[in-house]
Amino acid sequence: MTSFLQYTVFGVILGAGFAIAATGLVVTYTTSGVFNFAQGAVGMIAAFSYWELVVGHHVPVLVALVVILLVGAPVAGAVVERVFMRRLHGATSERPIMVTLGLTVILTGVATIVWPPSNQYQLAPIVSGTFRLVGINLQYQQLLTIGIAVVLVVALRFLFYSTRTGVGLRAVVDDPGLLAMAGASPNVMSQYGWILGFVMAALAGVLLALTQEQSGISITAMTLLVVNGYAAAVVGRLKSIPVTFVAAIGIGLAEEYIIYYALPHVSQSLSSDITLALPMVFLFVALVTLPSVRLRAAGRLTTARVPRVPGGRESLIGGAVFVAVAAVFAAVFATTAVNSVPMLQLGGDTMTLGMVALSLVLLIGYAGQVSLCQFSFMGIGAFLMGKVAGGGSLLGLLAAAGVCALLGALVALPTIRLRDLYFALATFAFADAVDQGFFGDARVYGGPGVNVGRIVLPGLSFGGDKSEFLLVTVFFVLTALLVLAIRRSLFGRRLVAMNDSPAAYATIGLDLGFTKVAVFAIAAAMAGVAGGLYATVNQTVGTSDFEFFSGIIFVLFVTVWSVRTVSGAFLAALTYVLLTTFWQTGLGLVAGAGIILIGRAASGILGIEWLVTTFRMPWVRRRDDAGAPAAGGGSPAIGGEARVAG
Amino acid sequence: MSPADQGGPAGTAGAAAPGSGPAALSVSGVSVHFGGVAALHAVNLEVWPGMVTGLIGPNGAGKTTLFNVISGLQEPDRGTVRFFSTDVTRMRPHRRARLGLARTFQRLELFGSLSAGENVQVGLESAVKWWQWRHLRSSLPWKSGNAPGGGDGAPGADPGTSVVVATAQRILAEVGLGGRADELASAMPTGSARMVELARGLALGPKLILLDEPGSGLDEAESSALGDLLSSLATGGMAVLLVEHDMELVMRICDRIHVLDFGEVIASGTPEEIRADPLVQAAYLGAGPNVAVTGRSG
Amino acid sequence: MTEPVPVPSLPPPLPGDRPPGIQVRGVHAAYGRIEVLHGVDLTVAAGSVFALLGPNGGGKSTLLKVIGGQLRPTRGSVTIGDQPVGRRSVERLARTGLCSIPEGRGVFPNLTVRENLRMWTYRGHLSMRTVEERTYAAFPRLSERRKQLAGSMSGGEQQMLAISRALVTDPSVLLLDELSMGLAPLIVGELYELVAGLSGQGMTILLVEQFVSAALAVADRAAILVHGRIEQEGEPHRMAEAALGAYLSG
Repeated sequence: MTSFLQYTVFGVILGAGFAIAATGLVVTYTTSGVFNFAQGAVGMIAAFSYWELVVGHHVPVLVALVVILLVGAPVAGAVVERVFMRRLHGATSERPIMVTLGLTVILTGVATIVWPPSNQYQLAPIVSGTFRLVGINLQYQQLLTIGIAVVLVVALRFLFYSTRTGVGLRAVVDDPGLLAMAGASPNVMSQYGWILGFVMAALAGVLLALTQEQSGISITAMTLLVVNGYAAAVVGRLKSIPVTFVAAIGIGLAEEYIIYYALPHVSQSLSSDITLALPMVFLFVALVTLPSVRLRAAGRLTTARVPRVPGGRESLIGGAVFVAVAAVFAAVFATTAVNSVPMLQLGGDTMTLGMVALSLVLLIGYAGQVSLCQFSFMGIGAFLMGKVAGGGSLLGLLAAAGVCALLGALVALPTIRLRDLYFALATFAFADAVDQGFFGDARVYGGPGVNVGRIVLPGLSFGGDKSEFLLVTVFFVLTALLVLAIRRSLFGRRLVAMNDSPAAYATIGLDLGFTKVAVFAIAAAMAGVAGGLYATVNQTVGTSDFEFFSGIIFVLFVTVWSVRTVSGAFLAALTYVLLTTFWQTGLGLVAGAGIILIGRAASGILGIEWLVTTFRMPWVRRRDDAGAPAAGGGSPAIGGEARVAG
Repeated sequence: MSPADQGGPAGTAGAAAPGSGPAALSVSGVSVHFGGVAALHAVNLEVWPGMVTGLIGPNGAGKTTLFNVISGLQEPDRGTVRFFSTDVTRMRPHRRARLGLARTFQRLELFGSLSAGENVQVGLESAVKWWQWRHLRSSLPWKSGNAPGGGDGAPGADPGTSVVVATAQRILAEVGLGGRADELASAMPTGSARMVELARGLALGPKLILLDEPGSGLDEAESSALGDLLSSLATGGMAVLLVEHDMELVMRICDRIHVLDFGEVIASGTPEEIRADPLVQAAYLGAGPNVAVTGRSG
Repeated sequence: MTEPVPVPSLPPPLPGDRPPGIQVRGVHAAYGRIEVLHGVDLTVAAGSVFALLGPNGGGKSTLLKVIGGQLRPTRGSVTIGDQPVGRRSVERLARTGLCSIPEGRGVFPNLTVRENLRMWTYRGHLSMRTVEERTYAAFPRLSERRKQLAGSMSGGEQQMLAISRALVTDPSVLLLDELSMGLAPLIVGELYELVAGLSGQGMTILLVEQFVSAALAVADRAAILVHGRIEQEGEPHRMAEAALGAYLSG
């Protein structure tokens, strides 16, 4: 009984921390319509700033808290709203997701430079000492966390119902236009929303950091700790603060009970996986309980420039030229190495990652479904490649494709009825759960990693670096041809149509759910095969190859270049590989800065017209007839199409 | 226009059909509330094959909400929607479409990154399976027998184009967009874009088509051609339900008209009856007997 | 919807300067690619009531949005008094005395009546007490409902709450869009009595209305907007016939 009480108290304490973070998320979302994926990263920065001030510079605790919570976080929130978020009003649903993810990777990138992960960051509790209450030991620190959460709820209640600004924050949710007509600025209101969100993220970050007494704080752990808050916010439908708060406490309790009552009954190593994956499981469960979204006729006409889709002949020629160039590259750099990595291995990585990028072209570019878990499928594919039929077998590739397609369908099925944001969150949850619970497991990738041989075909061996490179190049080109062929096919037209107008899609007799599951499964299979090939290129794959954050950064690179074209996919993979080789630290910074800078250009760098007309992929001939709108047909506002190389 | 149309106030479920056979659509007792406000209140309405039925009413009367209920984008709080003899009230939108119910939208819902031809093609490929494509060679989805311009594709179509592409071009030609299949849908002027939506709906070969203000954005000649097209669709046996603000068009082509006001059907009848109905004039002009405006009193 | 509404008693007329007039010059406006107004010229004399009539889709509401600063004209200009609307934000126009009551959504449905009234104080110089006193004096019924969510009230009550903003915030210019929408004729009549009263206090009023007789009864002048152009303009009684033609043409 005593131990039950003890776990209950622990659960409430943990839940209180989540509640603060989740409430901030809800406040930001309701006032600005943007789900701040960077909420965790903001909390992480706050936690490290607290360490820096208190431990690094011996600033008194109270002063440090004032500086972080009342100066730093509000200013940062206001600046982020003004500079990055305000211009996103009315943008398509994937853009705010990408921009806040960009913010996340920038913040984690900066943190990695300022607070190198190799060091230890230990924090002492703000108040020390323990006391006994009804037979359980409690720290004053824990009491403080609960106290702050309770005070915060009361304060928020007061703010939202008893102050004019608070009522205005609720009014802006109802009708921003009317609020402006009444004389208040909706922009200022949503700025308040971001400020509140940042302050609460910072508060949650510091409080949760203080619970990490033994292990010290780490960048990744701190960023993801807040994910528990996401689940609570989702249960609150991203709008109800009381429901969110109760859900957060419930998640805190569930986590404690599972850890203390269920996990002792499973094996040690499995239980640690479960503990790590638990937040994501909660998020996934929360998503599944949401009611279906109602289809709305949005009256939205795609105004973004539409990249031209190259014809079959043209793409074949392009592919052939590409393979020829790759062959020359292989001959010239056969023995060259940079940073002690062979050039051909880098080339092979580019090709296989390019295939993953192509799966994103299919998913995000054509179908408009944001997936953050392509790296998970890649990792699973690599694992199967190493394990099936002794490794290095074509059967491994088949297994990778099949298993990933099945998994993809399973991830997509429960969430297809939800809005795009929730779908992205589901893939986010899946990616992190796989990262923590599967890739992180010592028996999967841990230690030396998995060894994978090179592919052997009857009569053909790809043991040599050169032939291996050419093999994956051919695979990349085939995948590119496949993606373009899909786009030209009936299914491709349906993907684009579904993205343009879901309401019209349904009312002409097509099943949205089926199409979404199908495209997600195909893209998952492509990523799985890419993972298998990636494994044969590198011959050893480990946990660090498919990290959750790397996956997000990769999605951002694809979006930065152009998520609608094959050349965008290739350039994204190239950028990613070059940066990982030469400037690993800057990886997130460049991706984040890129996405924020092109936040306005809907189709990435390759969609920017002067660039496209100035630099064209050499194998693309400009054709002025096919697919172009007839002159005089449209207004100059939307005009013709950007000529984007396929 | 059709004097044969002698039905009593339509909307009484089970009233004698002005046409022969069962009603293509019968809406009975449908209510929808948004918050505390009733968007539709116990609406009854029937639409028969072979007729153009008009639905008019002031802004905010609930016409688009009713279309959403019929096509499945909005679930009603109460009431039923029957399509021929099938109760479709809880059926998902794509299943209704497969039964033969097509619609257009007041605010355009085109596939903006596809060309006009591809927009129609997506509809065509949804309704006609590939093994039936050869039938398209000599007919259009909503017509049996020979269609004008049938044979090996539309006039002006590339000889090598597939039958689906050619049929899409022919359907576009039917709505007056011959030769414009390659234009990007989102770059077309509103009037043409509305016709692309109509063509995409027709490509389904529907038994009933709901048109939400197809005439807005059209010039006089186009609007007149649209009227002729809709009349000929009805003559061919299709049921057409038309929401339109262009009264000239409505009065010219509709066989029956329902008037929706404050979410209720306040009048039903032939164009002549509607024009003469004092309730209708009141709805549009507010000339109700209760209005006692005293004028400037300040 | 047809419950009787107590005739509201108006607050005492406020002393004030002569309100500004509205000049609309050659305004073109578009939603995206779709041009809705094709060169509209209109003058609303200071302190008068102007009724804008015409069929749906004619561009009436769009014109009100342009005047209220919610939609930038693609060409042409709007001047209120001697101040060009230009690029001034909606909230700034509101604080300087322009009151727009939009069609069918002049209240925050998920706020209580009292919270709605609190938002009216953003106009500046107003205390919550004054706002409440004046509103409840005009609409005692709202006083009974002060803790109820606005969205759960009847259409008539919601419109009372919406128009209370014009009543208590002392605007010099009032733009009213479809006050009658979804309301029973009796209520419409009474709301328009209120409008007439507001005009008597010295306010320039531009109203858009489908309920022709109600609008014409309070108007000093009227115009008919068809297909984005002013088709006719003149004395209210001469516009009634023309409006009927515009609505039920054919």
